[in-house]
Amino acid sequence: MAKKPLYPLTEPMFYVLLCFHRGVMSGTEISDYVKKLTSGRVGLGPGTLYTILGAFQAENVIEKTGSEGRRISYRITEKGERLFQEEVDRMRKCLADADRVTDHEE
Amino acid sequence: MKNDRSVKKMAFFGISDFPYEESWLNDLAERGLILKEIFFLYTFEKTGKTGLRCRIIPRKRDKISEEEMDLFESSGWKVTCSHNEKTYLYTEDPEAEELFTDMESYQEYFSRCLGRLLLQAGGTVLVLLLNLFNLYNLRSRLSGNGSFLLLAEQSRFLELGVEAFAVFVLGAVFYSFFTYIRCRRTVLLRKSPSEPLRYRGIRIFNGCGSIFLTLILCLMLVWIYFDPTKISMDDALTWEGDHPALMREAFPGDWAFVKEGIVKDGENGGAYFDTEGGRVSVLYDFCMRKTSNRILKEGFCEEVTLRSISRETEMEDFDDSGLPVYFSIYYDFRSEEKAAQMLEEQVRQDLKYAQGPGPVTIGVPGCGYAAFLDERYDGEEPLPSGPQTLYLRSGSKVVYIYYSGRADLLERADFFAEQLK
Repeated sequence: MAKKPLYPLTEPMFYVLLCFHRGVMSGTEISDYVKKLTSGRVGLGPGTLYTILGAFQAENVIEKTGSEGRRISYRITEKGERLFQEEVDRMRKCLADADRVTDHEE
Repeated sequence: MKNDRSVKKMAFFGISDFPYEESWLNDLAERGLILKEIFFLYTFEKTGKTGLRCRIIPRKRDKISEEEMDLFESSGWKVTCSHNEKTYLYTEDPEAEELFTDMESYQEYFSRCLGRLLLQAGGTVLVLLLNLFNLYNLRSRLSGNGSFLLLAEQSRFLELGVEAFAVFVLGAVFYSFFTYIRCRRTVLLRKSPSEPLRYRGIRIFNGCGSIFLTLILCLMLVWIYFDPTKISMDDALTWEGDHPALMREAFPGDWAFVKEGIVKDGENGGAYFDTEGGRVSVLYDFCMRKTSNRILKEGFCEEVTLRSISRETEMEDFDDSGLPVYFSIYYDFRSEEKAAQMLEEQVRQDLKYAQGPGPVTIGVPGCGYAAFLDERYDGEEPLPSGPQTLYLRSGSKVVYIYYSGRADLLERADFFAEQLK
């Protein structure tokens, strides 16, 4: 099966990448933080989170920094930073387009 | 764990049927049953609570990384059981997040698991098929050249056993492939990772499939057990009509001739019959036991002691007899004249079939007569690698050897000359 390209990011992927802007984080911290941040709108199941972390690692979007017991912490790489920025730009453009069309209609 | 809190249930799910199995277990979990063990039956524990959830990860427990395990546990999921490439997770917390919250990650994770399952299944099938070929080889080795060969019970058993096994394996292969495809479709076409699936039909289908396959295997084994052609030496001696096992592959005339005169030989556990040339004992040394691959025939009469040692082309040389393949026959005559006369007769008979030039005399130390007959013919056409014959006579002892491989045979002439001493 051909690997799916990461870009554009799925919603859970986007939130995982967003979390790393707070610094080094482990999987459990990410899922707790995303839940809090989105007030429960975006849920990150453990399986989903683990798959995303695996895919990110394979694409060098994040890297391991260390482990504490069973928990492994990651931080974002430069490539990840670029990917995130591209996604934010894409969404900004989407929003701008949406605003333009709806404003025009009004 | 036998107490009133445990419940046993029967269900049939293939390894790749986990989405359906999950749906079934999840329905039971909603009623408070947690899977504890699978050993033929599913053993559940009654928790008395309701609204539990069950999810299956199609990986062995020890293949799930510690980090992944930590993520599951910190989200409220606990592994209660692991069996056969599947790990069963339960949660009591209604707030606990689903294992997979979006279809992308679910499909990516599960198609990876499925790919591995297919690889494993493919490997298992390959090993089974290779074993099957091995069994078939063994069967052809056992059936022998048919001359004076009593096919032992094992041979018949093996023959049918191989067939039963083959049916079972092929059935299992088709069935596994079918469930795999079904599961792959389910995983990829599912609307959400927690969507309930209709498992009832699958359970019944799988149950019938398993029972059907097992039934075929059992029926064939029963058939083998009551096989009419499976006979003992006692039966062989009192058999009327066409004999099913003894001399199965020999000419019918040969059998009639043997049957008239065959006598059970209690001492050697075999039988013997008298021929014009002498008494021929039929002794058995089956390669099943891997002690020897030679079928030994010994006979005595006034004129000759006959000892025939055969080794078939396909037989392995288990006991390092050093005998070349095809077969060799030793004669020990009472007098040198008889030996020479017999050998002459043997060569004359062989020349009837080998329409080429006659035997070439060769020099083998210790042999009064050594000749080599090359290039046999099958009707009009010369056989490209037809067997050669080596005749050796030393005094009153004679050996002749059929073999396919000229150089080998000539090199081994000394070995056979040695046997004559």
